[in-house]
Amino acid sequence: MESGTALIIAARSDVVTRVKRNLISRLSLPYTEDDLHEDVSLLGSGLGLDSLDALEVVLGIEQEFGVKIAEGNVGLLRSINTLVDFVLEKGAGTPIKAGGTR
Amino acid sequence: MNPSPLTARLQSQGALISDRDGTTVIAGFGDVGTEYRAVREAAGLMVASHVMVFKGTVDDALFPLDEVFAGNVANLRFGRVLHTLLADRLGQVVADAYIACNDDEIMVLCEACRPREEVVSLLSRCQVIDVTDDVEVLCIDGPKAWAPLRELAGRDILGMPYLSVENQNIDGVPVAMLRAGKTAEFGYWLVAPVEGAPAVYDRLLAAGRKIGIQPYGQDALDLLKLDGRFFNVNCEGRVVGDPLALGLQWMFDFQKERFSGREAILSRRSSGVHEKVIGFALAQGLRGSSNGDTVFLDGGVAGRVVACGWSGRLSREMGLAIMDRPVAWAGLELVVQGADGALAAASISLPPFIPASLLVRLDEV
Repeated sequence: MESGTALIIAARSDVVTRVKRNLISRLSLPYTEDDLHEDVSLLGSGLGLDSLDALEVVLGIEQEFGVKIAEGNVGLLRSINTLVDFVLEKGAGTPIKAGGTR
Repeated sequence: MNPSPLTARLQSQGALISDRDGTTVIAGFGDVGTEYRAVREAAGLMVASHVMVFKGTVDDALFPLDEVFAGNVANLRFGRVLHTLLADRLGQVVADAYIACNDDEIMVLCEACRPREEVVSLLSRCQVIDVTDDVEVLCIDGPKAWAPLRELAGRDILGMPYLSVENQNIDGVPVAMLRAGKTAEFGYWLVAPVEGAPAVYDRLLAAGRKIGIQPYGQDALDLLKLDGRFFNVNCEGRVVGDPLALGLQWMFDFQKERFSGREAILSRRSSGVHEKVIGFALAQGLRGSSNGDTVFLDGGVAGRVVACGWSGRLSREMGLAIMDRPVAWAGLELVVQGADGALAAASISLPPFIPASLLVRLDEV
């Protein structure tokens, strides 16, 4: 595997893991991280989150990555992968250190 | 197997017919692009003759079904529908199923990748009877799918939650209506007695004319499932078989003590899944990927194509590939080795677009 590919995978893998941990913890999902496919639908079919769950997910992502998700941006919640894309596009994939700096 | 009366009538009117595991199904009406577009932009109406239907009473069938299906059937509440999976003894996918709890009746609707006899055999101890030949399943899907149903069944249908079921009457024909679907748009499945189904079909088409409803068939449904990221038991399900590699863990209740294939699936789960199905899209303007094509990453073999087709919404060819787990990530540049040469591609996040129905608020229409 070329180094550029390895870097892309490492960055994505880190964000995916944190998003999954956040979902499992906040929503008390009866699954392990490995059980959650990154393309599983969050709304409707798939995990079947309701509007309160969705709000919980939004809060969790905002806190974990220091990003702001606009109200009504339900499109982001299509899957774990679409949430991860948003975080990576915002350049927010690196952990937030104590004191709020990256 | 003989086509249902409605399928036979549509065939005589020009519908294209194909065979799936011995069942006659409507493949389409001649223009798959138009059918796909109708569902993504307005509404489409399909005769789902590939769906097997079983019925029993809640008292008799609920717990036996719970011991066979992967999901928690025992906890299914009145008026709700469970979307789950049927596996064989080896833990391979047999059917994608809706189980509906309607009054004192329980109804199982299966899309299978195995012959009907095998599904009947797996359900033989579940106290359900096979009523597939006695009913017709009609599916209406699309961001405006609710409109003809509101006209025919009343405004209350707008309040039906996703994965719910209720009894309705359409022009004197009793139907069980499920709010469900596999296109990523609003969907309703109507289970009607076979003798009354043609009248319901005609009324739905007439009521939907003003919103541009179109009949659609299996070929369009396959494309809608593909780019809507709905599991297709007849495409990737048939090829891959392992529900864990397919990412279907959400259909399972792993805490249950019994379901068909449990030992095999839990064993694979504990040892770790080595392959995973992900999405890919070919570069703009490229065509020609096929099932079985090898997928390369940085010059090495990384996986193979298990489903592919044209996405009208993406305006490009896309598909699903089963990849070695360490490289099964979105955002990578890939090469698909098609029959006529190498095709530049990228792994993508699914679903790859926002379905129109996600932006419609049914309480405001």
